[in-house]
Amino acid sequence: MTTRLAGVFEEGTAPPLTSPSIAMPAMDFVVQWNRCGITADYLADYLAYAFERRDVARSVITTAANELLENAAKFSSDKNAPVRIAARVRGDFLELEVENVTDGDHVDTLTTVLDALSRGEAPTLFASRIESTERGGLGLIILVRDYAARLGARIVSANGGSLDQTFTVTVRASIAADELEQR
Amino acid sequence: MRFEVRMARSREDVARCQYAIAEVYNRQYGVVFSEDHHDLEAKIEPWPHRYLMVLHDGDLASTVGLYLRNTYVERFGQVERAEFEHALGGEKTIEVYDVGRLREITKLIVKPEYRGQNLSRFTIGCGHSRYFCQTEADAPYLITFCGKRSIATRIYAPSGLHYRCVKPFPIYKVHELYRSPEDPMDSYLLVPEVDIPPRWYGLELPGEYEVAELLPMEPAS
Amino acid sequence: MMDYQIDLESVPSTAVLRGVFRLATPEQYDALFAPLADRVKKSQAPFSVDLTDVVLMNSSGLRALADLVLAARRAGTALTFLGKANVPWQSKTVASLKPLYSGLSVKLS
Repeated sequence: MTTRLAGVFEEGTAPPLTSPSIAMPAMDFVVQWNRCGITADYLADYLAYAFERRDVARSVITTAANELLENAAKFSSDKNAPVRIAARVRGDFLELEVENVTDGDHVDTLTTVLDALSRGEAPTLFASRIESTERGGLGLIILVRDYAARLGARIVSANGGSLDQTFTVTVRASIAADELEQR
Repeated sequence: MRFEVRMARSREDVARCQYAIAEVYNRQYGVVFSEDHHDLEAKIEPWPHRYLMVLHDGDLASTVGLYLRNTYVERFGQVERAEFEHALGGEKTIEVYDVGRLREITKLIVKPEYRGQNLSRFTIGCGHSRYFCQTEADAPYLITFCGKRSIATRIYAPSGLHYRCVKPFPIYKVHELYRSPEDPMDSYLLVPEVDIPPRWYGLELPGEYEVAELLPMEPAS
Repeated sequence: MMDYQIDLESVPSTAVLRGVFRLATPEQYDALFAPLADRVKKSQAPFSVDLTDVVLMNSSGLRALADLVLAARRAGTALTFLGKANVPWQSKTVASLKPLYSGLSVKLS
C-alpha cells in the first residue's frame, strides 16, 4: 500500500467544533443524481449554525460540498464502494473531505489539476478551460479561484501493480470562515 | 433456462430494476438518472414509470422499462404528429390509434452474468406483452422506442417484432458514447396488433417461460 | 427538492431562470439551454438572462452560462446577466465571466 499527496493537503491543528460525516454507495448518486445536492444541502444546513452569516455560509458550503460529491459520484470506478463526506469546523476554517475509490486515469487528472492549483494557477486554468472544447473539471478550479479554497488530496493505492489498479482518494477543501461568510 | 417474468410491483422490486439499469448505463455510457417530474424538457434519462423483471431463481437477470407518458421520442425526438401518422400508414390504422397516445419501451439491460443466451431478445419480446405495455390502459397505446439501428435489426427483428422507422433521432451529446455514424439512432413505432406477434402481445404475465420456447428459430447470439 | 425552470415568455428579450440548477453534465445543460443559445445566435438584438431567483448552480451550469457568453460573442449579440450581489456564486463566478466578451454586462442588485 502506498500513499502520496497532491496539492495542499494540510489539516488544521485546532480541535474541531463539529465533525459530521456521512457515507453511501456511489451507485446511490448514479440512481438519483439529486442525492448529491440533497447531501450537500443537508451538510450546509447542519454546518451553517457555526457561522454568523448563515445564509451566505450555507450557499458557499453547499456549493463546495456539491462539487466534491458530484466529482466523487462521477469518478468512482467501483460504484458499489462508498463515498464518504466529512466536515470539520476547525478554528477559522471549514474542512470538507470526500473520499471515494477511483482509477489511475482519474488520479492522474486530479493530481495535475491540484498541483497546478497549488501553484496559484486557478485564474489561468479557469480561462483556458472555458475557451476549450473539453468541458469538465471546472468545479475544483472555481472553489480555489472564487472561494480561496486550499485543495489537496491523499491518494492511497490498494492493489499495487495490477493493471486495473484502484485508488482510495480523499480530496480535502479548506475554506476560511471569512470566505464562507463573504466578509 | 426458465425465467419468471413479472412486472415490478413493490418499492423493492422497482429499486432492484433501477440499480441494475443504472449500473449498466453508467458503466457503458456514463449516464446518471433523476426523478421524472412535470415537464422538464432537459431532464435527460428520467426513470421509466414501470419495469418488467426477468428473474432466474429469484435473481434479476434482465429488465426493461416503460414510459407511460412524456416519452423520450416525443420530448427529444422532434417527431411531428404528421410524421407519426405517416408511419402508421393507412387511414384505417389512423382511425383506430391516436398518435397522441404513446408509450415507450426503454432501458433494456441484461446483467453481465446472464449475457449470451438471447435474453435481450426474450426480454424485449416480453416487454411487448399487453399485460406489461398496455398496463393500466383503457384503450391500446401505440408503442414507440428510440435506439440505434443495430438494436432494431439485432434485437427487435430476430424476436419477431415488426417496427416502423419514423425518422432519425436528433444528435445529442448524451448519446456520444452510444450512437455512431455507422450505427445511427432513429425513432420507431409499433402498432400493437399489427406489429407485435400474438405470442408476445398475448403473453400472460406474470408467468414462467423458457427462452427457447418463445424464440424457437433463433440461434444464440 | 431540486427544481428549476426557464421562462422565455414572461419578460421580452429575457430568459428568467428560477430554482436550483444541478444537472449532471454540461451536455444535459445543452438541451436545457438550447433555446437561449438559438436566440443569441439568430438575433443580434440584446438579450438578458435573469438569474435573480436561481438559488444554486453547479459548475456544469456555470460552464453552460460561459458557453452562452461565447455563443453571444461569436454572433455579436449583447448579453446581460442579472443577479444578486449577496449570492456568492453570482457575485463571484458569474461576475467573473465579464472578461470573456466586451458585449457582456453583469448587473447585480
